[in-house]
Amino acid sequence: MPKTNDRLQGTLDLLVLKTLASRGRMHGYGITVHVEQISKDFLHLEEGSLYPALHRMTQSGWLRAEWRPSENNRRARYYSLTPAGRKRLAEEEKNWEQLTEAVARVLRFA
Amino acid sequence: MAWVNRLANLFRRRRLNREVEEEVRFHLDARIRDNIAAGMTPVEARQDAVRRFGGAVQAEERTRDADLVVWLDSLGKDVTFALRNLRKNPGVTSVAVLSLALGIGANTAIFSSIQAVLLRPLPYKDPSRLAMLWMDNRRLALHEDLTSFPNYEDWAKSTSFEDMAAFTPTDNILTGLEEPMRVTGTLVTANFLRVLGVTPAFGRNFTPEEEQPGRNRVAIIGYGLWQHQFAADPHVLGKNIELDGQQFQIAGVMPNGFAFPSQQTQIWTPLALQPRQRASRSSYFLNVIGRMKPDVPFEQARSEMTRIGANLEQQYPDQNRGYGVWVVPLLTQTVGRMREALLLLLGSVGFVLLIACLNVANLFLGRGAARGREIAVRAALGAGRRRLIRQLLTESTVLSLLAGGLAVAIAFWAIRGVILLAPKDLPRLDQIAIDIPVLAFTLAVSLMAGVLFGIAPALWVSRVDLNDALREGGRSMSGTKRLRWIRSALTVAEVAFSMILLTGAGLMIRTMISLQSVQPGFRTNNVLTWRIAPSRVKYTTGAQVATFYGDLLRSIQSIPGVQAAAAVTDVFLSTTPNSGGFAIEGRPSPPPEQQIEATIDRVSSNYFVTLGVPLLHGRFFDSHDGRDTPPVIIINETMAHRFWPNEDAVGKRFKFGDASSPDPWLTVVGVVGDMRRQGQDKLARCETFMAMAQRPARGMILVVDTSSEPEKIAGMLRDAVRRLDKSAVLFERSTIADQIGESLAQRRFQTFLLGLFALLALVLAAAGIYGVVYQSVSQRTSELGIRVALGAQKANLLRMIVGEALGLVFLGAITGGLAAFAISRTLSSFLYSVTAADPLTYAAVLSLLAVAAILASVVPARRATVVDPIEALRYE
Repeated sequence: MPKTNDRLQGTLDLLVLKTLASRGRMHGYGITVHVEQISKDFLHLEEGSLYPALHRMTQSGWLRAEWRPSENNRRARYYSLTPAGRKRLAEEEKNWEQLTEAVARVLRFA
Repeated sequence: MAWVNRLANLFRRRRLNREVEEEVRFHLDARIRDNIAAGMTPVEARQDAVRRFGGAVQAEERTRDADLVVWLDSLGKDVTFALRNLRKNPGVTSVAVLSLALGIGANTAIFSSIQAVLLRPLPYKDPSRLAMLWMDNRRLALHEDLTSFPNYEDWAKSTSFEDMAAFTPTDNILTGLEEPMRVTGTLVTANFLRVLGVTPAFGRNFTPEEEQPGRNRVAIIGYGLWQHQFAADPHVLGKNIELDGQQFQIAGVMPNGFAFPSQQTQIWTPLALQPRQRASRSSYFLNVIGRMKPDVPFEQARSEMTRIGANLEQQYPDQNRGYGVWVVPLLTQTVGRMREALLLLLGSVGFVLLIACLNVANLFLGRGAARGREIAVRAALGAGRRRLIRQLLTESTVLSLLAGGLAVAIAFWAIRGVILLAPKDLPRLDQIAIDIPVLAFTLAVSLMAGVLFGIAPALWVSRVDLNDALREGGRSMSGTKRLRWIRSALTVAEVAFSMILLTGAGLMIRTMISLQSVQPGFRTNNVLTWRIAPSRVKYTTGAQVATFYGDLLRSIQSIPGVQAAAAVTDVFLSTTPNSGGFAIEGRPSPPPEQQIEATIDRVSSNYFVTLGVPLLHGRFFDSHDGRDTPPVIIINETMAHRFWPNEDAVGKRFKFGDASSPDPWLTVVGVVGDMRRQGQDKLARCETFMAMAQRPARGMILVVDTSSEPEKIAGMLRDAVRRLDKSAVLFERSTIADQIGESLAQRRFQTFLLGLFALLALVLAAAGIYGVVYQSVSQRTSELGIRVALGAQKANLLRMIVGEALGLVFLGAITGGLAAFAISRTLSSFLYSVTAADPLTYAAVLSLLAVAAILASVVPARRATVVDPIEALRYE
């Protein structure tokens, strides 16, 4: 039974999972930069908060973490999606759609 | 399975931490590199990186903290870190540990006394159900007066009490040995041991039949007597013991440690009263102890006894009017005034500990300022505020636990000192020990102290924001100012608390001084007193006893070094003295409740001369007062004033008891000056003295005025007694001065302890002032440098700094003085001839504080005057 996350944390998870799903193996800084670029600085992440999330998702078995040399040959920790992670992504996406749909409906009829 | 992972992480902890650190460092470095690439300066790049990273590591820690196992693990790390930190500052640490240890140690010592004296149950079965019952003597305002046998029998009908026993202490002379020996004994009703809920270690209890005269020749002996006098003979039962020349068969031996009613009691025999004594409602000589029924609360028992007392007053107005019943729980009775004294001392050590805590809080705040940069760096690296507070509190708790350990050692020695110095007659003080409850108390106090002195510095120091942290200087000027304000407030509180303690101690010392200078009304120097019990076999009649004392005193007077020798039944009066109501010739006798009792003592004719008591009217006894002349009596000034205020008492006649009794009238022949015989703080009562030649008493006290050390003639005195009566027993050798000293001993001891604690408080407060001034001078080096550079005189600088410190002290002293005044009423029952608002005491305490404060601030302030302006400004 996965932990029930609050919405914001769920959003962060979704962003990370989605990023890794589309871009493959990345280190933490890479994920940060990617989310920033994609959202055009609109989603302002507190960068540090990414790491507890990565840590947690690794321990939940959604991500695989491994140490490998980075672009400039320093050791960096790279994350990639596991099959469980893909399943999780699908759930999170569905949740997100349901949520946005619900919010949109409320906004329309309220 | 997330928790398996977490558990596994615990064992991989070290590696994991390194990995997290490395990952974060990678992230920060990457961001800095990108920032520089985007055109920032390296400093800006770094600041931006840290800012963007935010409180992430804190968040990380929050997730970790949720895990108890992990929490314990990090606690261990905190403690290790705390110890390392404390070791880094040996000076601050040892001062802090020492002051806390003194505070906690004093608390431990006092608490262990309270535990032993007030809290530990008495060594009887269900001791909370035991109570002492007394005649409430409203005529004398004496709550705890003895009762009579018929009253005891009526009390025992109470439905609140399961059973009641009567007893009366007695001096037994153990004869039939090589040398007769005095043993403290008690005559008891047969149910006495059952009421207490104790049984003999071996042998049997008394039977009701043994309360009959003639069948009462049985005795139960104490463990100590059995050990020493009977060499722990296992076949002692059935053997005989000779008391005052009569044979008693030993029926039982009490277990080790049992001694009731007094610690000295060694032998118990049945209370076998003659029919006349059993019937006399006005012969007051019995103590009564009762056991309440299991479900009866004390208040209910007391109100029932009050009702019974009122009924008896109505039923027997002639004997009982003016008397009620007074019930006291046995523990309260045993502990007596120790309770108030100990609670007062506990309050005092509480203040001492509070001062110690304030002191250490101040030290930590001062050091926290110096540690600001270290804390800032750790905050910048992502340590959360809660995490920082926890770390700092761990540090203070570790410190206070160290202090607690040392405190137990201090308390151990302090308790030995207490037992050594305390008056010997204090109840249960010999049982003081550091046991589990005491250790638990020390632990609790240490932890509380740790939080108490740790919380303020922890909150202060952890108020770090990252911008401030990354600035070179560490902390802003306004922060430093606020910090100084907090530290000043702590110092003011410290001074205030020590002012309270010093005032209390000052008042007690003043009381002690005035008590010691009280004139008791009789000679106190070089007067030996020695109780004597002449042989009952050799001297059977009163006339023989009188002749014995006459011969003995003459023979003592011829001993070289003896100025005068006399005999008296009692030099000092106990709280329940031998006394009685009396009727004055020619006056209607007042209603019983208005009757005054007077004490009765028998004296040899030269008693007053021997003790230097002045004759105010009439004459002393002389050799003409004998058995065949009319009985005469001497009264004291208080009695003369009270009953013959405007006339000469000499020549007046009165008799004890009823005017119609067949006893002859006693003629007043003299009025002597008042003597303080109940203690230095008690005024004389109505007292009478009869001539030994007319009313002999068997047991008396020899009173010998010697020209030098009284103890030196003790041997010759004993020889003089032996020459007349080989089997006379001499006991309780003392001097008048020693006995007055003993009567003040408990008070003196209490004053000594309170004074010691006040001194401790003063030293701690002075140390606090020293620390604040010292650190203030170090922190203001640049300001002082500027002042010197601008031409400030060194003397002015010194005055400025000392003046600031004295301002704090003044503020503290005023606050403390007001508080002391407000709470000094709690002290008033301990004071004598000093009011709680005694201006002299306040003035003395204030000057003492001022001197201490000046000393404590001048020394560190002198450093300010040697500031080299160039050096100081360069430092900035």
